Amino acid sequence: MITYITRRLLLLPITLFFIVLVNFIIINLAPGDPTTVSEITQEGATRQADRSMAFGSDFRYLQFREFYGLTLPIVLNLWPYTSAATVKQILWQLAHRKQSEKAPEMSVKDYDALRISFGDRSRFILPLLLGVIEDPKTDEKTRIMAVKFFIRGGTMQAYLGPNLSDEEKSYNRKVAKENQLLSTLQILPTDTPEDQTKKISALSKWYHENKEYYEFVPSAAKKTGMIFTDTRFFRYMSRVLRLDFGTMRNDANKTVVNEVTRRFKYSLTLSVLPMIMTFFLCQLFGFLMAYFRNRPPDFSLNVLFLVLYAVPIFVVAPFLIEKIALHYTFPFTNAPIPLSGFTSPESIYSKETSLQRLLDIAQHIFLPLLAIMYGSLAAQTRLSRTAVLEVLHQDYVRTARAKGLSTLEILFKHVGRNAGITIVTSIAGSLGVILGGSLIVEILFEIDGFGKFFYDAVVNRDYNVILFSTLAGSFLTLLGYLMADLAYTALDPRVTLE
Amino acid sequence: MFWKTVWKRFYAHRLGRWAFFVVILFCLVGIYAPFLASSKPIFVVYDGECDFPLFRYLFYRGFYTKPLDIFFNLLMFTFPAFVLCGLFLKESRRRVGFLFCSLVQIALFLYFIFFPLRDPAANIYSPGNWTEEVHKMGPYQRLNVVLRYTLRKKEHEALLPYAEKYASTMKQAGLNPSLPTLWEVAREHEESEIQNLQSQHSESAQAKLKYILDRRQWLEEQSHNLRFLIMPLISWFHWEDDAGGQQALNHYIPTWYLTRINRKDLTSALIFGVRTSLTVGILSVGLALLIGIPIGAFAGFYGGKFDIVVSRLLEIWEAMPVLFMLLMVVAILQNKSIFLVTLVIGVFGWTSFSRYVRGEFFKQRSLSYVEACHALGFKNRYIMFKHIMPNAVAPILTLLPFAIMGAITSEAGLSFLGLGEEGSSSWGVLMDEGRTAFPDESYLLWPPAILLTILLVAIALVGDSLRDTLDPKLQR
Repeated sequence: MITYITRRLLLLPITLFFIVLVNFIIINLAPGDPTTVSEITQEGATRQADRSMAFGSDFRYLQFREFYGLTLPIVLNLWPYTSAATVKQILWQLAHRKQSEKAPEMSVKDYDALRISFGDRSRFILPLLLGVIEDPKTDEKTRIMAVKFFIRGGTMQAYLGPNLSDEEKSYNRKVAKENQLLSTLQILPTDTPEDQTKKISALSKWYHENKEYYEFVPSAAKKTGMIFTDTRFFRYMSRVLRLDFGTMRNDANKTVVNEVTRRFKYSLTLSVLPMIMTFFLCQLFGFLMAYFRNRPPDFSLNVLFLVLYAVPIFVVAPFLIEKIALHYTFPFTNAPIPLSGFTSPESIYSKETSLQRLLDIAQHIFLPLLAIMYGSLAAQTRLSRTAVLEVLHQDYVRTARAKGLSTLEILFKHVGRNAGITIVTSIAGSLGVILGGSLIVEILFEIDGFGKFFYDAVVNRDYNVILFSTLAGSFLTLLGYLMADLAYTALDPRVTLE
Repeated sequence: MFWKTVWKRFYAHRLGRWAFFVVILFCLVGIYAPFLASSKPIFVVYDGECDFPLFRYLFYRGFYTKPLDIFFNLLMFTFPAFVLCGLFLKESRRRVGFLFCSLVQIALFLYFIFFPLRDPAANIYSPGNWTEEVHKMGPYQRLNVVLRYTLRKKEHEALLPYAEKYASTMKQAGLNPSLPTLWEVAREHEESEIQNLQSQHSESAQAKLKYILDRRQWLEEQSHNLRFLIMPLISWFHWEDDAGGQQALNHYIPTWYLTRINRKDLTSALIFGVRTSLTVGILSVGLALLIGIPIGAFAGFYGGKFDIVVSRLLEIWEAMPVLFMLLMVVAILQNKSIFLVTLVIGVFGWTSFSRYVRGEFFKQRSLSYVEACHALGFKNRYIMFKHIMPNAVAPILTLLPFAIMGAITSEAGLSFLGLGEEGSSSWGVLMDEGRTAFPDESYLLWPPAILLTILLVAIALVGDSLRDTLDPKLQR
């Protein structure tokens, strides 16, 4: 038993690793450039953001890319080894929109791809870029292009998040000042040649001042290390292993982990409570159906549950809101059925006694629970029927009957426990499905839980939240499986799971 | 022989049988949707000449902008061929027939995608003189103009009984009391233009006025030349086209006249929505089968270390909550195409098939007939797919309807959350439109919801009967 659990627990991280890997692959497929991202809005409209150079605009998306290292090569980083000739060539291509002197103009797609990849690379080749800028032989177009990329490469990312150390804060201040300076040094079309030379000399001054500090020219050992450490995979994995999932899109003082876990209590109530209730109810119905086997009650219940199983949750939830909650009160009382939220507004809720609070919550989650539960109840009841029927045919049930036990005793003691084994496993394993269901219910009933948080993140493109939530959801599902196995062994001593 | 008994036993289930017919009905509606809802008549006699306007547009990508629709429009013609092959050919010939039909279908589909047709009623140069313009038009272009005029008029007349009530409410609110139909809007526009032109005396204004009056008179005359107008049976609108109408009007008219938020016809969108649901269901489950069966088969047949690794992978893959993954993929890839959704559903849905196939192969591989095969010196792969596979079909088949159901639900759910393909007629998208105005305008939510529920319930009932049929042990 203990060996089994340890083995299981050892498998958990491996599984999580794979899930992280899948996430990694998916975010690597993300569109490469913040300015070409089409926005997903709540209205479902696609707005193509303006095509501008990749150096400004959607700052937050660039931050996300830096945070997970998406501006780096995937597994091996050979960018610091770029030769001066290559830099010159690419800059020329970008400045003239041509592959070579005689080639036709590049397509927008090719041009963008080159621009983005070179923009990402610029951080590692600042000295070379400066060489190109200061080289008097470079033509004007190429020089302007080189300055743009120099500024892109020189723009550093500040530390984000709460509880920054003084050191980090002072670094942030320095970076902010320098970024400000660099952005003013961008060469504009209106600039006279004198302005240009002034700006270029300022750039070169900035470079020589900070050369040591940022290690623009790394030592050979460092350069070799960078091949492996400055990659997407390394950066991403080291973040995940430190459980550093970044901060919220809108508020750098809130960490994603905190915000998500804070909302777990609502979602867990909405998924664990239905699981427990489903267990008892489906046993009950399972007994009923097995008892009336192949007679009208069994048949009609069977069809009813099949239909319930098929009806999607996003049809039932609006139905409950519109046809029930808006027109009826709770039976035998005048209390209206609340439409949204997990509790009453804070102003009322904080004044209530504990008992009132409990009642308040019960009233609020009555319909959401119903909406989440009906589907799994239907599925589990049909399973329960089969399980009960199977047990009823066992020899020990016949023996129990023969020795004169009452029907109730047989049902509870002998049949119930054995049939329960199957049900518990199946219910615990369905945690993932229930989480998905509670996501829709939370959105429709406006409960500020994990699911709604995730959905809002999806709509607002808060990538940090999306990544962490998926991981957390998978983790919970895994826990469900683990619980299922444990329950299986606990309930059925015959099973050793070795 | 086996399939005949299965069919017989399945047919004995009354509920399952009816559900099966319902599913078939939905499929037929999906395939023949243009005959049920389109703004082009199926058959018309104009000036003594017959024409089939709808057929001119079936493969034109300006009219059916989604590749999905072109595919189904082709299927309208190949589907009977498939059925005939199934009914009248035997054994290997039937297989050849099916293969041929599918090849034709795919080849034509690719042809229409890569070599788009031209607009059958392309706009022509307008000389500013109506008689001359009519003269320059081809016979079909003329017919097209007349048809549009007549149909709009008819639509307007159909809505007239509800006009009074609408006008009185609108007047109270101080809004425009005339019906917001296309015909009425065009007429009002024309009237104002005529008035405007009459007050001017310049030559160009007079010419323009003459043009408008001529056109009006000509259209009125010609509309009497239309005979034997056979329209699509249910709705007279193309689902992608503006059908006029307004949210406010929706409160006064019966369900089948309702317009969506974007002023498109609801009924025709509902009919074309069947196509999306069916495609997602079938394609994604097909993909899941394609991945799941080989993996399960190899794991079950060879067992040992390979099996252990595969089982772990299955476990890992199953631990990913599908809806979360779907949302994440759509959000991060910034791509809402229906095929991406199908792909993701398929990629996350193969595990259950694998599990069943693996279990079945595990059971079968130690049976004596497999041993006999080994003794005869057959290759492993041959034994697996020629001898064991047919015995493992039953559990897959019972799982199939429920998998399709799950896929359709996932797609609709995703669209319902506002992440479906834009401008698609998926029922989920239609429900999402109803949700944004919920609960005031929930009349837009329920028609797609009810249709979706009927389809899902029917599939579930089929699945249940199929399970009873194929797994007689459960009956007891």
